[in-house]
Amino acid sequence: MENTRIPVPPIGLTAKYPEVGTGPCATDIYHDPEIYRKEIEAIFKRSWYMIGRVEQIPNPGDFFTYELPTFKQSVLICRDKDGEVNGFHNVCTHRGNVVEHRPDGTCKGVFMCRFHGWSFDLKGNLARVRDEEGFFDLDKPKLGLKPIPTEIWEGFIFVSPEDQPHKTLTEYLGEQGLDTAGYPWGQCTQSYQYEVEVGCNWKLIVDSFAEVYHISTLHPNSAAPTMMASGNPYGRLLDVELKGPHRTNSHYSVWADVTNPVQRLAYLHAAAAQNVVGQDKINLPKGINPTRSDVWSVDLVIFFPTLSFTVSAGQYTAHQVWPIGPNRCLYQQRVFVRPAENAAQRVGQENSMVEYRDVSLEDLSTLERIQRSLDTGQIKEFHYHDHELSLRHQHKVVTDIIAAYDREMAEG
Amino acid sequence: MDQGTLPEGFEALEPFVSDWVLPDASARMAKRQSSSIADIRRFYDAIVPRGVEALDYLRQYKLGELTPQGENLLKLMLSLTELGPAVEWYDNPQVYDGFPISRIRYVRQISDTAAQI
Repeated sequence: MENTRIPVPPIGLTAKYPEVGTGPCATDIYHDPEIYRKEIEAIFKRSWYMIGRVEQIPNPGDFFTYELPTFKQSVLICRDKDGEVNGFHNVCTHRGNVVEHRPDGTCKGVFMCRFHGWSFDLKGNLARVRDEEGFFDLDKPKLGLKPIPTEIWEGFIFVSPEDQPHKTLTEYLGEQGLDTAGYPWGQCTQSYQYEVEVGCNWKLIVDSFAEVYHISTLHPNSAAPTMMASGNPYGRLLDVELKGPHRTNSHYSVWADVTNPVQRLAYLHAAAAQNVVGQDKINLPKGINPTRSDVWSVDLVIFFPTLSFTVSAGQYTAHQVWPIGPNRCLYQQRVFVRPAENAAQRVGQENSMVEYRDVSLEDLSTLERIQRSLDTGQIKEFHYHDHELSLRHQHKVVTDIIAAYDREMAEG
Repeated sequence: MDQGTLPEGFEALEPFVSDWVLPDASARMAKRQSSSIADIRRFYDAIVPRGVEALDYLRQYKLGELTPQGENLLKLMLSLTELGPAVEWYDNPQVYDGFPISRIRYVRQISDTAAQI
């Protein structure tokens, strides 16, 4: 490939979406406790949350539990004997202990609370009460586990924190869900997951992956050599697509510039798939590599507010941010890779995880420092570059929702 | 028949087995953090030139079918991937100006050697 002939992506992304504007953006939505309180009501309670994949529970009786840090709730997901995936609040209806205390496993048809031994079947029915004779008119059919709204998209299990979801999952995912369905999500069956608590507003973590204006300066030796190679010195994006509250960044990369020995071993001899070697970049859903570029590497597919996927042709990373305060959140990163066909490919999988983790540590380094500047009022406006369009869009989506919520409250 | 701790032909890497054959990814992460860049480079410089051969050897086996010596070779290569950025990106065990890695919690890892298909 003759790299010097690849054109530099132009300025002009923001001009495609005049409604987002071009002015500075007030930073109060990044730290104001009252705005955060409204975000919980108007944004977070009304969204859906990806908490795992169907491959984690292939057989009847398989289960996993999951904490929803924003809502301080524990959820129990299982597969029942009809093959259905069910979700429940992980709360025993007797005295409120978790009904299942383990992170995952397989049960023999019932979950038994370790507190007093009440048992519930895979559909949540109260199956057995120890020493039932001592209770007073228990209405057992009404004492089953409380279901949590649970839906599946492309093998991802989503739950809603509201008993009556504001939107269906399909409505919530919208055009972004339609445009990215059909990617081989289910083929990447092996995954790493790590998490870290960061002292920053949830939007700062979303932002840290949602612009690559910083690539050449923050990632000079890691991501930059590929992403700013060959005539793209500022690491500009191929495209940004806005879809309702959601958005996608399409990234440029050129393989020919990778010279590091371990990266070359992983990419060329161990089938590590975060790179662009030998991958079909065209036969993808229309929302992935939307410009059908030959120098495409990955897309960041963002589902507002807090779920995004860094998707390449052969693997993907899921980013999930859980707000736990105006300036505190839990960040979870899962790297999903295809199963290794041989022991050499296991090395490629590990290389993907390590590279992604170290680049992310470079990203995360900025966040608590930025938050300090916000909390102390040292910065009151953000000035966004054309290729920071995703951040500007997020700002508009959040402020529009808060304004609508204020009107909703005023009207009673 | 493999006699040592590594497959035949890889005897030169034996001195690195005790330090760099580790139980899992979080142990590798911790070992990188607690090692000097000089120690990391000694292992890196010894194994990188054998990297293609090592992967050619490993490619002959499915996960779950390696000999104990083959598993050790795989684990040395997994350690190499952990160390790659230390040598190639940072010249330091730590990510330059990075977020403190000690605050990262691994929740799920891929088994080093268990069958995947």
